[in-house]
Amino acid sequence: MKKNNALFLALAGISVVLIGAIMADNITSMPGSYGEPAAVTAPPNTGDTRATEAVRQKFTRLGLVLHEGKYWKNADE
Amino acid sequence: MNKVECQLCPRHCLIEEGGRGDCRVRTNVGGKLFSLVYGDPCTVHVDPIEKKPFFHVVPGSQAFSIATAGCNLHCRYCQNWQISQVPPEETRNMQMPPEDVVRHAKNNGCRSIAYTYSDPVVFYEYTYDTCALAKDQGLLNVLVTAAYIEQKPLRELCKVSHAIKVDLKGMTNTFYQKMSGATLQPVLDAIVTIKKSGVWLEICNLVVPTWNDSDQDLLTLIRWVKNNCGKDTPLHFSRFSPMYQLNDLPPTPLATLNRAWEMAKAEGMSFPYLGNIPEHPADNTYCPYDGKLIIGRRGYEVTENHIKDGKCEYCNNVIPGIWS
Repeated sequence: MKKNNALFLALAGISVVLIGAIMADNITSMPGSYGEPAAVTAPPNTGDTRATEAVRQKFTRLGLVLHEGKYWKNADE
Repeated sequence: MNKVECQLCPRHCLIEEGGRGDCRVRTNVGGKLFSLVYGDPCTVHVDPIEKKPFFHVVPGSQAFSIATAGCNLHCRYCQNWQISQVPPEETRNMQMPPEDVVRHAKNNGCRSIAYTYSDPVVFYEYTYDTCALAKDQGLLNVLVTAAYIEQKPLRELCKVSHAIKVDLKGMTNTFYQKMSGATLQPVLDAIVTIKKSGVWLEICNLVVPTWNDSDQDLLTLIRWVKNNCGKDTPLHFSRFSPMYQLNDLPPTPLATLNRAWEMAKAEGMSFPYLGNIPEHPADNTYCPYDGKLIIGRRGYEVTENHIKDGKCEYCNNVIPGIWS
């Protein structure tokens, strides 16, 4: 009985998620909708953001200005 | 943290967050690569174009010359080490965006803008943008470089350049590694690319006693230039003076340079020159067809010019170069 309840709850949960996803897709695909959903990005890692900001401030204190460079790639690729 | 791999030059530096490439002027911030010297030259000067040296590019004209800190080579004889071997926070920089460079060049009566002193490879973005603007406004772009650069950025840079003088420092990998901390082949590849692009090319070799002054060294270089760039490529052999980390060597003997000059002529090079030797006949340009002196020079000064509409005034043969 407990197993059946657990299974029922699991199925119900999955169904809710699926229905919600379908509804969301319908909303964004409908004419007159507000358009493409914003890209989903991972929440910023608080530690990385602070480190990046610290680096930016270091260069500012040195009187150096950052300008986007050409010809590089992410080393993890 | 994301590392970035710089792909501008053959070093392919892996740069950590906040770190810099070997050149000291490219950095990783937030997983992106940035230049630290865009629009911030530390050296700005008006020079005779012969000083670069360019002998076949608008003789007697002035070049508005700029450089930033940094370099991707570490030559032991560098005469500009105070700016090339330091990071930009250790030089006195001025704010001069590309449009200001062009404006100042025009206001100073310069026919060209020279990207020089350190190496325009390391201030690539600034060089490129300024070249593009200058070209649009009718100025010539002349680059002085060791040409230690990857092919793709080089090809793009050639599209906005008019003339490039390459310092071909030696003809062995050992020389490049020990003298400059670099390698030879990318430089040779770059020279070939420049030649194929149609950009005017001149080559300079600094002859350093005991390092690259043997007959074999000189002949290897002369023949490589002739075979890969053509006999009409101006080839400058320049006298070394004790400098930076090579203060224990003597200046290049005149006999060595004369030998280089004679060898180049014997191998059929049309325009061999000697540099840093006052009042030497090898300062002048001689017509390869009739042997007459067609451009006379004393130091950086042009004393006479017998090239009219790109041709020898005497025999009417075409003399290769950019003459206006």
